[in-house]
Amino acid sequence: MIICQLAGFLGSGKTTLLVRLGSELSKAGKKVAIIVNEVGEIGVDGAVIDSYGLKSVEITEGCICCSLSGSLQNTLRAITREYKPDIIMIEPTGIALPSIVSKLVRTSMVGEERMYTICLIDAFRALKLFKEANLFVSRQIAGADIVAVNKIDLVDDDVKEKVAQMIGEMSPQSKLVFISAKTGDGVAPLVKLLEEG
Amino acid sequence: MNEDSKELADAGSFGLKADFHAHPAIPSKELVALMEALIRDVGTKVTEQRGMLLGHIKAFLTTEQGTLKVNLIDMDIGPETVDRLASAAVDKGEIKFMAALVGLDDHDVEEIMEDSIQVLEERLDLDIEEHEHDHDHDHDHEDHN
Repeated sequence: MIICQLAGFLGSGKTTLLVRLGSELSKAGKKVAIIVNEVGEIGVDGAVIDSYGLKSVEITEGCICCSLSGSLQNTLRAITREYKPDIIMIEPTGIALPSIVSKLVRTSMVGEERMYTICLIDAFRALKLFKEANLFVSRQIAGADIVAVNKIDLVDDDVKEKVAQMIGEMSPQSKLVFISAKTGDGVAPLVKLLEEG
Repeated sequence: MNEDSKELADAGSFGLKADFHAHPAIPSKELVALMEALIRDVGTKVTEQRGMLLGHIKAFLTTEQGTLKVNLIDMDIGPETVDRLASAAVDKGEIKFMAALVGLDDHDVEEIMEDSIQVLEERLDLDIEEHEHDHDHDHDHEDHN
């Protein structure tokens, strides 16, 4: 079993990428389970995901990296035991810290063969985010296995270069990919990574 | 795990769910425009109050004729809509509407969203699901009447 966390700041395109990856992996015959977390008491993303024929478990009214950490671990154990998925995809809130979610997954003892953290950055707003919420966003990026610069359909090459440079300084060990979750551009290698483990 | 990521991000959030009815049925194009107006109204109020929009405002409609998703992340781009409504008009459905915004607390976000939802009430009958607060209630609700 592979666990993949799709993290990233509010509005970075996590749900769009999750639907695309989940649909592709399901088509490839993989049994995919999805855990989606919303900070508010009313979740929107779970309904969006379900409307594409995918099945999700929604955890609301708090963040799985802090106030709802126990709920995440219990949900992971229940899904693993009852559904026996090939892949569990976790979409934390846009204000979660992915490194803490990773630690919680590891200490859940669900027997995953591998875990990936993909952190999305909205290319269109990246420079603004790095200016206005630098400390928080850099903590989200730090330690991600892959940083996916999303929405590349909205920016030119100059912006892509600047964003790549800043991410490289924040998390030099992370692999950098450029994608558009909306158009599907650049997503195939991520599907392959999760398909093959 | 003593950190609270919501506090670290200096973010507030609020969400609500409502059943809606339209008498007569609302043309799908008008419904899309109405939802975009709702989301844009929240974005405008946030920008007026905070100076900028940093966060995510989203609404998702489920109807017997399909779904409609409207997001706002950046005022320059405006609302992003995924229209999967399969018929020309809609008479009922469910709306999920939420926002998570940096620089505002839960109460600020709630007040803005509850004020903005009046945009819909000119055309739709809304039955908003009551919610229970679990955050500190050391504020007074403004009387909108």
